[in-house]
Amino acid sequence: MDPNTTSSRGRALRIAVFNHKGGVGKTTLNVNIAAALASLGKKILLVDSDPQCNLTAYLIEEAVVDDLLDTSDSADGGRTVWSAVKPVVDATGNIRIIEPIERLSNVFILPGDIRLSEFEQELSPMWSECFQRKPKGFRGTTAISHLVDSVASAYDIDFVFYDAGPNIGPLNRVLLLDCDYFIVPAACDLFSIRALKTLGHTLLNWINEWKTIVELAPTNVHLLPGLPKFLGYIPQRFRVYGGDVASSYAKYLPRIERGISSDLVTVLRRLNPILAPFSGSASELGQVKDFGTIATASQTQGEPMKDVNAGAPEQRAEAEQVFLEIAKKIITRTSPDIAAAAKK
Amino acid sequence: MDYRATRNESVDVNHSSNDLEILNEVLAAFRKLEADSQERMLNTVATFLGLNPRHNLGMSPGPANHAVAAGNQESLFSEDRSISPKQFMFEKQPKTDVEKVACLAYYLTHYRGVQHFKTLDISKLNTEAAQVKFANAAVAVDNATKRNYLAPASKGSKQLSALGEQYVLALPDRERARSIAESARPRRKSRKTSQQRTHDDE
Repeated sequence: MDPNTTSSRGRALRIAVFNHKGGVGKTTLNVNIAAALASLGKKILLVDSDPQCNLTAYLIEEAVVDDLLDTSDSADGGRTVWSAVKPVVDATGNIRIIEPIERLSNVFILPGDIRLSEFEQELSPMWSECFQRKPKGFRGTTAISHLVDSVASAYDIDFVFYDAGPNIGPLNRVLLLDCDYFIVPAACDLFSIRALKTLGHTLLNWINEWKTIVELAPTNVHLLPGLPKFLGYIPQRFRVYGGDVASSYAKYLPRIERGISSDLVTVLRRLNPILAPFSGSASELGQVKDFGTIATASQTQGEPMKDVNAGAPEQRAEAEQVFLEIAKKIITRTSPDIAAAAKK
Repeated sequence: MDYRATRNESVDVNHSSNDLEILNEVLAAFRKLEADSQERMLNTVATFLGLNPRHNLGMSPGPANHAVAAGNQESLFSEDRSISPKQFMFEKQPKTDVEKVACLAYYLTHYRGVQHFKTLDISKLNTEAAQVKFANAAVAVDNATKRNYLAPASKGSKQLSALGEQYVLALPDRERARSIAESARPRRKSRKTSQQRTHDDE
């Protein structure tokens, strides 16, 4: 299959774990949800689309990450997302398919790259070129989507997770528009709630702009779906004492729910009701408390929290249960789309 | 142990009774195994004794075949890259970082033809083999060297030692691997007590 000429989205559902507020636990969520889904028999592809490469460093040894970054610019040896999209940025050709790296059982990763920031710079003019109906703009805008098409179909992937960086830049714009769903992680603090206020309107602008681009688009260009649905939110990073959420964090939980409802769900539903099928407490996918030691160990050992060699066994079992419940909800909520994709 | 020599020596003995006895023993041992293990072991034994090339048996090379044969018939297996590092690690079941280093070093040496390697090569292969990342790869390589599984090579590189090779070949049989490691450990000189020293001086 020539991925550059064939537009085959395949059956894998694409999900972005996205919040433009940093430090809300996007990467940790990605790894642990992926591991939980894999334990339920799903095949997962993680795409590290953050130029900070946190997800890559989470799962791959530092020395190997450095080596990947050192060789990512080479014409045929690169194995990062940048290596794949470089020919498009350089206007020397179409994307180059790279092999993902298997890190956990049934969990594959396309490594990130600091040079994705260069790609991000190019994406701004490419977006304008899309409005001007220039094929080059579409090639660049859909480059990562194309890459994921090919890798996901080659490895028979069920779910693709984009680990997006904490910003509302052009790279995240194309990733969100390529997604079928997005999940919003929110930390229990003031800044996370403030970030929710702008999230809905940003998404609304992106979807509307892409809608215009699609209406103007010439034939025979690859297009992004442009309709990311809100799958749910996950409050994180709160402490629990004696079985209850600590009071200093507890006050934020209802505020997050209200913020999600008023600033995201309402805004998206105004545009298209199918974009936010869940609202209120029903949109909560689960709660992830601060797991302390095992969360840190998970990052250093490159394992999901349930498998780390640290912390108490009860703590690991609790983490396993929390992420399993989230994974089950994801499967249930996306099942109509899974069935539709399978039919297709 | 030279298995070919053992086979040749047995030519002089009474074939029929001896063969039947051996056959019964072999069959008894094979009955304890699963069907796929039987096939694998049969293939391994045949290759091990140089009786029959494995393609004649019409079987795919199982990872265990490589492991056993690599030490005996390197020319046959060193170029064979059909086994992935992930499969190899799965077969060997290393438990510690040091054992993982030894297994990866073995794979680099015998399946990739890399005789001298650095820590980064081990880390890269570890990633390729879909193994959990090392807590500290440099320390793991250093510890493997201290245990004589690896030996220093030129320009700060390492190479697989004879002990390391035997140790990996013995895996996943941990008892055998441990006895190999222990037999190769240099004996510590026993400290003489002051009384013994006085006695010797006298």
